[in-house]
Amino acid sequence: MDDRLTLQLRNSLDDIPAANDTATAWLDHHEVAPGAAYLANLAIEELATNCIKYGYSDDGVHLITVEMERLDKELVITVIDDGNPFDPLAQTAPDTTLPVEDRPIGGLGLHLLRQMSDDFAYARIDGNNRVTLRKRLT
Amino acid sequence: MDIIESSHPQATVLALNGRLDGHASPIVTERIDSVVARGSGRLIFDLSGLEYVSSAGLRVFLTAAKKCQTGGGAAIFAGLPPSIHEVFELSGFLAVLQVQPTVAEAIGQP
Repeated sequence: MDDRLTLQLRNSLDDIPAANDTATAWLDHHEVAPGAAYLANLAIEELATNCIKYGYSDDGVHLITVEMERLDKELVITVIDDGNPFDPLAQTAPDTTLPVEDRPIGGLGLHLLRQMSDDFAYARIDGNNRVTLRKRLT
Repeated sequence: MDIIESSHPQATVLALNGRLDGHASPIVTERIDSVVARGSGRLIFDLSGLEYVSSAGLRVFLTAAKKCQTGGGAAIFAGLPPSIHEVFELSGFLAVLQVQPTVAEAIGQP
């Protein structure tokens, strides 16, 4: 297997488990550390789910592209979609200190991705949202 | 996701093995609801076999804790592997949910 993986899923929630399975097989083969592998799976599920639920103004079929690259010292995960412009870094972090009964349900996915990655970048390029996460492999 | 249910005198234990993602979340929610509907008091989640939880799974846990609390019971989360423990910590769940090192300690808790 190559040091780079590209996979695509349609804008259907049913496509997410297969994308995670493909990613996990590639991550296992490349002996990627558990923390980085966890982040990769979380990035695919959280970013694709957000995009599928809220990213499109039409009912058409769209493709979401996931790219992973295993470098010497880090794993780079990129998720690209052609949905409406959405900057995950512009979202406010949830208040994680509230007691159970006051906790709003939601907002946690992006918070986890930001906390678990070493770098988290967003760009709007050629009509696409492009989120790039980096995780050190130590 | 594989769910194993076991009954104890004052508690029900649900062992969740595998991946708790958006796909598995509705199935687990349904199972939790049936346990809570029986009013069996304490609900203990054995997470020692849990490999992955996403925000969808975390919502399932938070909702379960609220349902148990509303019914006068309690939800206790036990046996968290390191990766799951980290996710609980980053989410602030360690502070708002009842977490025990092992199922035995969760069962023995007064």
